[in-house]
Amino acid sequence: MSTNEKSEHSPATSDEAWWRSAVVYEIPAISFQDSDGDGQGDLPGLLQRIDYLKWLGIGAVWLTPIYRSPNQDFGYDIADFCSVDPRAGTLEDFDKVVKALHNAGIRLILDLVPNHTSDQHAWFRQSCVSRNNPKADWYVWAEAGANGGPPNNWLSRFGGSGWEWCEARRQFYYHSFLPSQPDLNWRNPEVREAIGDTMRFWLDRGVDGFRVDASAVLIKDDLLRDNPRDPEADDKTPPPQVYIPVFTDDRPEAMECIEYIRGVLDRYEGKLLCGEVQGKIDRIGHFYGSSKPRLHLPLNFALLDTEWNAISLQATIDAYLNAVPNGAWPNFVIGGHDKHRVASKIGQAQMRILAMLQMTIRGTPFLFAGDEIGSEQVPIPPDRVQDSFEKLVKGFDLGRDPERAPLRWDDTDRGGFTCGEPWLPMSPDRSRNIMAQQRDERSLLNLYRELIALRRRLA
Amino acid sequence: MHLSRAFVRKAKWLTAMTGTRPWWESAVIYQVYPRSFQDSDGNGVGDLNGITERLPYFVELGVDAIWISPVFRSPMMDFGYDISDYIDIDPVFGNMADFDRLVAKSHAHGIRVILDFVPNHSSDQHPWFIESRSSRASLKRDWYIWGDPAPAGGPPNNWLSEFGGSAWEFDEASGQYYYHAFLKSQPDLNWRNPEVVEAMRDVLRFWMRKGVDGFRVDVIWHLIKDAALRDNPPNPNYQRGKPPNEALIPLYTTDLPEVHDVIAILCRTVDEFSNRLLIGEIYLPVERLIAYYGRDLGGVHLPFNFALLGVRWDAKCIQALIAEYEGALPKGGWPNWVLGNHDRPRIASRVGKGQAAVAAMLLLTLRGTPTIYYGDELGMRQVDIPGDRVRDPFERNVPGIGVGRDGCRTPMQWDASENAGFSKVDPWLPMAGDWRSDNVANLREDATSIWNLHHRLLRLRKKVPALSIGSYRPRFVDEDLLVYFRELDDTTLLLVLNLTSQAQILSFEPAIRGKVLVSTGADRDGERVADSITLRGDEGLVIEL
Repeated sequence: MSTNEKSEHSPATSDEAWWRSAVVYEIPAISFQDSDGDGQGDLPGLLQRIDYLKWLGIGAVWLTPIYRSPNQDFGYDIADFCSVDPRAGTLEDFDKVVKALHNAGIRLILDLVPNHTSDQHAWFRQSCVSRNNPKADWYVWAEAGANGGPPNNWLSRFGGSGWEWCEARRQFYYHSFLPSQPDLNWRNPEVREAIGDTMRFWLDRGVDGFRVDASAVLIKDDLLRDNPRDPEADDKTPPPQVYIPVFTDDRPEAMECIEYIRGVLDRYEGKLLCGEVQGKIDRIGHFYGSSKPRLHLPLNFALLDTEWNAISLQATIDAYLNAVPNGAWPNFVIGGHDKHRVASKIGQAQMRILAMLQMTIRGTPFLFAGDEIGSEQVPIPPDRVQDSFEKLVKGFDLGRDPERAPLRWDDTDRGGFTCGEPWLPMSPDRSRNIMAQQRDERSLLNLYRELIALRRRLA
Repeated sequence: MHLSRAFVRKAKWLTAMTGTRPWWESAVIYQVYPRSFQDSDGNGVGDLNGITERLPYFVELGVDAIWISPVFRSPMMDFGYDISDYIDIDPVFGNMADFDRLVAKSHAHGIRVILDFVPNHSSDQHPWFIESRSSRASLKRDWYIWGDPAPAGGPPNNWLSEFGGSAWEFDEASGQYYYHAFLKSQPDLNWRNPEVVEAMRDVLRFWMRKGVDGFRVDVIWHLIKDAALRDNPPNPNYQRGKPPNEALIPLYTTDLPEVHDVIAILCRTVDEFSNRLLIGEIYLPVERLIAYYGRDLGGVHLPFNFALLGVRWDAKCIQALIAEYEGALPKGGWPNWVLGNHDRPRIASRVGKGQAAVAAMLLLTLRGTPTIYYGDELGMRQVDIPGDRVRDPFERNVPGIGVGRDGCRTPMQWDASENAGFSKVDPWLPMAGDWRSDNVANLREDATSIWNLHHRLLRLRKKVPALSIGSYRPRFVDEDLLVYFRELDDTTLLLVLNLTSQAQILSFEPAIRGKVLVSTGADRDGERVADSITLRGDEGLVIEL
């Protein structure tokens, strides 16, 4: 049973729609602050930096996955939804972070990854064993195609067929991402209920909401229809993108899953549900929901994806704001763990304009840790590549390590991030760091801080 | 409430459903452009009695319903899409008795009649607008969209007319502007006004009581405009030489969320009568198009799917668009396909004569209700209209960039007699150059003609339900071929269409056992198919497995 109790540590300003006036700050724990010298950021490290977050003035932290994981995909391959990965810390550390953030008046949003688990998850281990075990139908299983190959032409986003053979069952399972990330079967009510349980586990510990990963792909076509080839695809198209994902992405039935997730959340008060959605502005309205609510904030990357000139921005912003249904609330995201750093696209001078645009436009702003100092793409030597996407689909500039490099707090070798060897290289641009920009009144960081303060004052 | 009951025709076929399916799911619709179909009274312009004369033609060809472009009273500034009386027939087309006879005889021939409903705007000669314009205090002032001049003078905002220039026209007498999405003689009605909605519902009921079987709703995605009259943003992708209205993105003038509320009302009105079809004219990308099926399918029955009108004509593009459309359909939403209409260049000119036959086979074998544009069954081509014979206001307002629509509206080519049997006098638009050879009488005699291909495919559709209501399953192949199956119960049909003019070979592994039912060249019927098949250039085959 869920509790309807509010966390005793709820921040003071606990109005229902607090997220309308908050700035949300995405933190990949692994790249934020290391406390134990293993080169990977962790929860105790985050705890040390809460004063900085308070100084900056953000209203909420969105923490990327900290759950137990073999870490094949930045923690998005989860082996246990209700635990903390030992590299990130312990549940006790987590509780301390929640309390400290709430004491600082900052809310905490966790990443919810309902589309798939790690192949190390107990559910999948059981599902694999036979066709008739209690979890047999918890994943997307299908018979081989006519020639003994995969059931259809669906591809993994990370390259190759989306189907992997399981000898024990003599069937294929579907994975939208890595073969070690089998997709859950959201047509199965038991799966929904199980994910609902994991949500309640964290909500009961005081978290203020979730960012739903890959919410557009939760359901795949039940007829398993082939995806058509993209007629515009050529040699420059990354192989996973030569098909149009008509039957794997943004299926109408996926909306019911989101409604279910929202239903779980709405048993609590003042919680936020935001989510990664299909990118087309024309589809935004569906993700907000009509008769039944879906996401409070379907994340909007339009500012990142538009050509950086006034006329394109104007058209995009107008189209987006118009697509947001009446009574719903817009949002503007300028970075994320899957997106190239915006500063590398538009340059440092225009970053100041972007800051002003993002903080003065109607809608909740989302920052990715480091955007506030204009962090740029960090060059990653081939032998330091961590991202499976880059390893599997080489040469298309798809790797995400350059934007995931650790945050630079100062100008030392290890940037104040760790006393060990950082898991990804630090930015070579030592002067672009938080301490230096805190001292410089005219820095981008101080511009952000002032704008955030102004936004708070004139909400 | 069933106002309809007393008025519903008694004819059995009309109320009969195909099982539990609405009639339009297995029907083929034929668009008649009435000015150009058949002139019965010798004025060079087609009319209702002309259509009535030609009813046996529809039966012979094998279509089930005709959609007739507007025949209502109109000053004809936009050839009937500017209506001055929604419930009267324009004298150029005949009178109400002619209309009643057309409906009665159509039904007697088993042909349903669909009218064009033009709710977005009326003519400026409509009594509603005359009254609305008369003063700011007029009771009908709010039936149209009036705006005050901008603070610095000039129109209320930057909205542009589809036919060029500002969409706002100043009315000296009352000191306000009115909005017109099209010609200034076509003021837009205010669909936010419930009185307008009620008046238009009565128009629908009027025609349904006369027995019409449905409506095609003109520019339905335009009905509602932004209440705050916000400026449309400039289009960053606009290029010179494109129609001038495309310089702005029509964000606040079309496809507003509230439009679905008024469409739901229209749909409920049509559903007051049984078996009536509502089609919406909608030019939007597929993600937005499908919204017009409405929440819980409470929108139009068929949002016209124009995807084939603009697609690059190769197998991969067409394959992708079919999959995207099929994939986007809401549960229970019935698909439909269109290859041509009175606003777009003729298919035979767009893809060439050889591919026109392949296109016809595609249209008549895809899953979904097909609409055939008159003359496409003859392979009629886009006609070059000499400058002094241009009639289309779009071409006159925005000349020289190819927006004119006269070229796809030239008279129907019936036979080799004077003016192709269309009229005893010089027609309102010039005839196509090929009318002496490419006419119904000639093509009917030529077994290999595109007319006979239509004829055979339409017969096959009637005989084999898999072609109309069967499932659609594509098979993606590397060759430039479109390959798909249509299946229903024990019937499986395989469609193989060669989208190129070169011969191509398709292999089957494992081999199939099939027999050709229809070939575009009419010379392979009955041929057995096993492990491979060679298609000539521009050839398409319907194969029964």
